[in-house]
Amino acid sequence: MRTLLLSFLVLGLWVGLVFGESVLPLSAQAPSPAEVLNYLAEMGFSQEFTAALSAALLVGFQTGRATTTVTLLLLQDLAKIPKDQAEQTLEILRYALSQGFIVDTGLTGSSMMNEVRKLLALGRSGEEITRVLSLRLGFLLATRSILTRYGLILGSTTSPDAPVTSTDRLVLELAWACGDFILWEGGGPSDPRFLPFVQERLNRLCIVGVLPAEAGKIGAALTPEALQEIVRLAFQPERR
Amino acid sequence: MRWDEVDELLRAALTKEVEEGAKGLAGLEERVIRELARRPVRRSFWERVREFLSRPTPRWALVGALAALLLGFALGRLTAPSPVPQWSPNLFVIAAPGAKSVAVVGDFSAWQPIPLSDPDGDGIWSASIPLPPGRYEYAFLVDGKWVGQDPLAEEYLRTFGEYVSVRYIGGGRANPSS
Amino acid sequence: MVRFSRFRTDVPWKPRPEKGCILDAGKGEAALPAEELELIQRSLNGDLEAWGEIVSRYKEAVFAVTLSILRNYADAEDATQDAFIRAYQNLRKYDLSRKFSTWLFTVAANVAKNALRKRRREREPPLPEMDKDPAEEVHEDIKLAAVRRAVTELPEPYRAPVVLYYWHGLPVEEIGEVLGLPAGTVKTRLHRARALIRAKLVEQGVIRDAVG
Repeated sequence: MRTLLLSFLVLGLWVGLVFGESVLPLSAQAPSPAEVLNYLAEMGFSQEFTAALSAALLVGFQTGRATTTVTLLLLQDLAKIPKDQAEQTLEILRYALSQGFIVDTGLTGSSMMNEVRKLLALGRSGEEITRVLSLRLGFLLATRSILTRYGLILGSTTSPDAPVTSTDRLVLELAWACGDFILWEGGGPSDPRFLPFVQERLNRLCIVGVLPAEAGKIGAALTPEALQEIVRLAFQPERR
Repeated sequence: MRWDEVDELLRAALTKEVEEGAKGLAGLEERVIRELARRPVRRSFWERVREFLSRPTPRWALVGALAALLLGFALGRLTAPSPVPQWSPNLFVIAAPGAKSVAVVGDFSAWQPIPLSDPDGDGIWSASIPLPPGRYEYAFLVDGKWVGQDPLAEEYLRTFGEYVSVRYIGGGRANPSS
Repeated sequence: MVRFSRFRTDVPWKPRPEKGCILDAGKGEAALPAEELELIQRSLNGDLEAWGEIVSRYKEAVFAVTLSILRNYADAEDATQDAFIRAYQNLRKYDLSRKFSTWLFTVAANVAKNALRKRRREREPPLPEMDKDPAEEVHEDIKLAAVRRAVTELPEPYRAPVVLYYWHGLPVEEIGEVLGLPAGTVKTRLHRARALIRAKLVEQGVIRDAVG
């Protein structure tokens, strides 16, 4: 009798598992670009700013530099902070898009938009957020510049209209790793841990398939001097 | 000074150092017991089976069998099938006994809370979140409080002093730099 | 980086003794005194008070291991507590053919090494609270303080072997087992550590140069 009951329990469990997975869905249907831009239009920014940002976002959605899901969530969050701070944040993102950078990788990793949402979730102020975002932009610009100068990349586009390439993703991830080390690890540009930290990050991203195999070789070709250059340039506002 | 005298000095110095530091170990036994008591006891599968089989037989066999079938189906539908969820890279699990609500926030949710569940009330909250390959930063919210260090994480970052955990999902390919 | 693998695949499978049957494990001479075997058996049965007794017996020794790796009291205390928790949770994996203390020290060393890796800011940790005003110390304590500082300043690979040898009194082979090193490496590190400490004491004028 006990065996029978156990059998029925197990059978029910199996049926429940097979016909009703217990995993959580990651996200609902993504909003359309129009939905996102409509929301932006109602946020109360100047017409000029709204137009410029809308144009940049639309191109970003089309080329893979931003996603509608995260963008809409970000706008909804920014609607809750003082408008001037929201505008500053969005202006940095607009500029980054205009320079051809990826500002949002959707729900698959860290990026400028996700970092803003993280900082808001941590309760940081608008001022802190724009400061961090500004530095992240600095790292993006500096990384692309140094990698190009050292001949480690060819063809990372500055054009916002061109589709995103794996080189663009490499620039993003390397800039992100450098920024993480300087901003959050508390390291300095001359810190001997800097290079291994960055190389390990690139290797891990290769292993999980976010970056192509070449990224590992580029990581191996990096030097402490190159990273120091990146940091130096990242903190030079006159470069922008 | 002879080498054996150096050795004696070493022993004496280390003894003093450990003795001084060991003052801070007062009450360690209680702390360890308290912490272990707080964590759920993991009984082996066979212990649980033996316990189940030793229960008295219900009167109505058919009703009991149907009830067992429905219960099993419901359990399978609702959440993970085992009180101790089978670990996988997509599983987010945290021990938070006594918590009223637990959620995970991270890159994969654009930092929106995804609720975890504790169906059997043993204080182990979990959710299985299918994630494409990538690097994900995340943290838990336990009754609204940020808990950034997941023991199962591969890395940690401190953002403005608060920890976030990091996982890498995927990795069928060999390390290209090796 | 911490490996993202919950189940070690590098450890060969060993049959686990049935719960409550440690004395019947048939492994020949027990590596534990009978009283300690009983405490472990009770711990496996979920008796936390029995584990508390184990903690009481070994806490100083485990603390010495974690202190040798982490070099400051606060971190070593935390790691000591974590080590006992980890050891309890993995008690089923303890192999009776090994000395219990060796197994426990191995767990402690691993916990401390993980804590060291996770300590993101690798500044030199604060020295243990031994920096008293020299004017308050008697002559003997100055020497001991100098030795303590010299041990703390040893390169990281040398400190744990020194503590395990001089404080725990473990033989070289056992130190190797705890730290996962060949016995030859342990001997070399002990030699060098000793020479470094002596040289430092000579440099500071704490001892004279000539041996003998």
